[in-house]
Amino acid sequence: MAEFNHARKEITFKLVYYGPALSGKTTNLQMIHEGAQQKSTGDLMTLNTEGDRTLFFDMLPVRMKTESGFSIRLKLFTVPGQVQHNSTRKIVLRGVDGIVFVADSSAAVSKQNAESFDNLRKNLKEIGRSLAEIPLVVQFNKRDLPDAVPEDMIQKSWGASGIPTTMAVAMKGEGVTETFEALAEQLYDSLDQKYEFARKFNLTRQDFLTAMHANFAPAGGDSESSEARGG
Amino acid sequence: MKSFLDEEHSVEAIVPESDLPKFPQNFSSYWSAEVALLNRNGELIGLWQRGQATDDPERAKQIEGASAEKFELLYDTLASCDLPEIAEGARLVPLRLDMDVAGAVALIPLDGKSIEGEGADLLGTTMESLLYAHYRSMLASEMQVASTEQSYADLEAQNLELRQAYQRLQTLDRLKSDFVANVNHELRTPLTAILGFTELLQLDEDELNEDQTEAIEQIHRKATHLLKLVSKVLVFTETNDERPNLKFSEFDPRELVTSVIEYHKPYADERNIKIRTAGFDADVSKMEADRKKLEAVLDGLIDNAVKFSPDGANVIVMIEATQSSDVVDNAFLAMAESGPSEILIHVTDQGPGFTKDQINEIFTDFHQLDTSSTREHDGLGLGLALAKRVAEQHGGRIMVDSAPGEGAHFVISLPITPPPELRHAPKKKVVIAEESDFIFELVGGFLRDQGYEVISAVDGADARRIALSQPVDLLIMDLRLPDQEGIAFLEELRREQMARSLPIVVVTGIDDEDLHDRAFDQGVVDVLVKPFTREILLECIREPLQTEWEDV
Repeated sequence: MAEFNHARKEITFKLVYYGPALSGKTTNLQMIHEGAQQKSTGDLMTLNTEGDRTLFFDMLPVRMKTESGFSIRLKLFTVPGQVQHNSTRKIVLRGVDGIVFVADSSAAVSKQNAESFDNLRKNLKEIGRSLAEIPLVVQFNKRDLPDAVPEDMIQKSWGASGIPTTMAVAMKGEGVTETFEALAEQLYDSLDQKYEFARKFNLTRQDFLTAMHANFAPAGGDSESSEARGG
Repeated sequence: MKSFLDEEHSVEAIVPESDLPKFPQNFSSYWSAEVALLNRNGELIGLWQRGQATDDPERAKQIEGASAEKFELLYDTLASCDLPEIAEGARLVPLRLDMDVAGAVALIPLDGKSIEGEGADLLGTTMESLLYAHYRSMLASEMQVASTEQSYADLEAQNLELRQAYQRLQTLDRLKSDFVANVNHELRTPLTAILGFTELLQLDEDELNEDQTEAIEQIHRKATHLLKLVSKVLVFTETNDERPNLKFSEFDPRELVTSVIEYHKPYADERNIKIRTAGFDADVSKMEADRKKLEAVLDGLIDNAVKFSPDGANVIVMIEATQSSDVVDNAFLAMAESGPSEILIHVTDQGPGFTKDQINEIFTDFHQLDTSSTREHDGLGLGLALAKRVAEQHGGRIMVDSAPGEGAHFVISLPITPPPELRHAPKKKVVIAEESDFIFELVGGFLRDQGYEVISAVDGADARRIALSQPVDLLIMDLRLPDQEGIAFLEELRREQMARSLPIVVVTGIDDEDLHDRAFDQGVVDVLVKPFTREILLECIREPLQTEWEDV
């Protein structure tokens, strides 16, 4: 749950990158870590096995300031995709404010995507939450794979759900920022609705998104974010 | 000759198994006779005259008397004989079960009609069935009574055994805890001296050669380690108590975790293991818990993480403040002002991990996965059991995620502010054994006002049962109990190990110093003579309950 500190004008969010094993959750975080303004992020906490799989979780703390003087602290988490580590996934989901579901675009693993998404839904239910109330973005990663599911098919399946989807090749830094910003928009809207964010904190949507945008310019990212970085 | 039994009336059908034999209606009336059924001891168990069951003790005695002399004959010959003592033409027909005489039927003609031939045989068969049914039902109910009585007795005996065993175990457990606490104390004193003098020697480093310096360093390191083990055992013994005595204080969890990590750093550095921390910048600056116990828990977790990780590995320790899941449904509760409600402390390692079966075992006291004499790592096997207990006593939990070869992820969740019922010591239990409901309500009311838990005992047996089945802090009893004389009750109760030192206050309407002295002989705290005031009662119970207070 977002923590607010009125006195210090500070807000803390917990964002979780969820998804099947090896879909690129940690890569997303690494890109954000590399691309973010150096002073604003802490160390990327990660425990990897030899097979590049995340053990338990990765954590990236990020701090930023808005134009109007708010401090926004983000805790970005990934969960382990492997089936057996469900208890850690459940723990990490505690108090989550927003979720990026990183799906593997490969047609061969669409079943794993579905299972992982179901697992997310189930785990949220078990901790008393539901997908409907949490800002969510689905990222289709590894778009450069030869057997990637075509984008129009994805739009057809997901368009009706109202859940934003983004396309990414996280290894090259493509789509990482877009995904993050898509989540930031959802996050702002959801918080504003729940807590009258704008009225109580006098923090506008524009202010919030600009701060987010300014801080995330992943390595090899798009030109738009490099512009924003300057401002 | 037409059978006197209707076609549809088989013998089985007319004999109700569980009832005493009832002579079939149409059967005896046909014979206009008197029929008596005797069991194998010659006792009359049924008498019918002209088909009517009859209760005629005189006649019964008569028939019994006459038949008694013939029974021996029946046993010898298994054949019927005359009963001229009763009436002319009267006969005694043996009834057999298997090849034994099970009883007899006396057939006594009335109105001078004799009973013979086929009719007599049929009557005999019918009566045999009746008798058999009678025995069966008698036997069954006897057996039932016997078995019920037996099982009651068995259960009672087992209960007693169990209770005694439980008491023995409780006593042993307490003795063990006391012993461990004492040993601990005895160990700490010399250990402190060893550490102190070693440190003094280290001050004079210049006067020592290299080997000696190294030796003293070793002594210091090992003694420090021993002291920590001893402390851990002490904390463990303390948490073992049924009523954990948590000493809550407010502190900064980040500072606590940092200090524990600092302690393990040198050892981790030796093996190039990095203890990395996360979440320490977050807003988790305050929590309320038993600092000493939590420190022992974290020490155990971080010690394990370092101990079992391969050289050069990472150990991650992370602190998080979150909202526990039961309040997130309510967005208002989750709003700014309420803040997070629980602290999560994660300790993650890259060690060998656990299998599912191992995960079920690791939280057990003294459990170690490798108990072989050649095991690689030392330790007492207390760390995780202690962690689980302390977490739960604080109203939190410990969770673990692990798979073989994939390290382990331990998470302790603790409420930032302990639930109010934990912050105060558990309520003292007072049992009141008092015949008068009015006095019970009155005294009970006084005590409840004072924050005691009051349990009502309806009589002596009940009071005894309660006092022996759970920890009780005080018994208030009337000397006149519904089921037992008060002094006798006291004597009996004091013979029980568990109740030997139970504080007891006697209330009585009898102002008899002799009686009071006899109660004092049983070690009661005080005798209150009715009527007494609230102040007197409270004054009287304050001391026994207070004394115990300090002991805890």
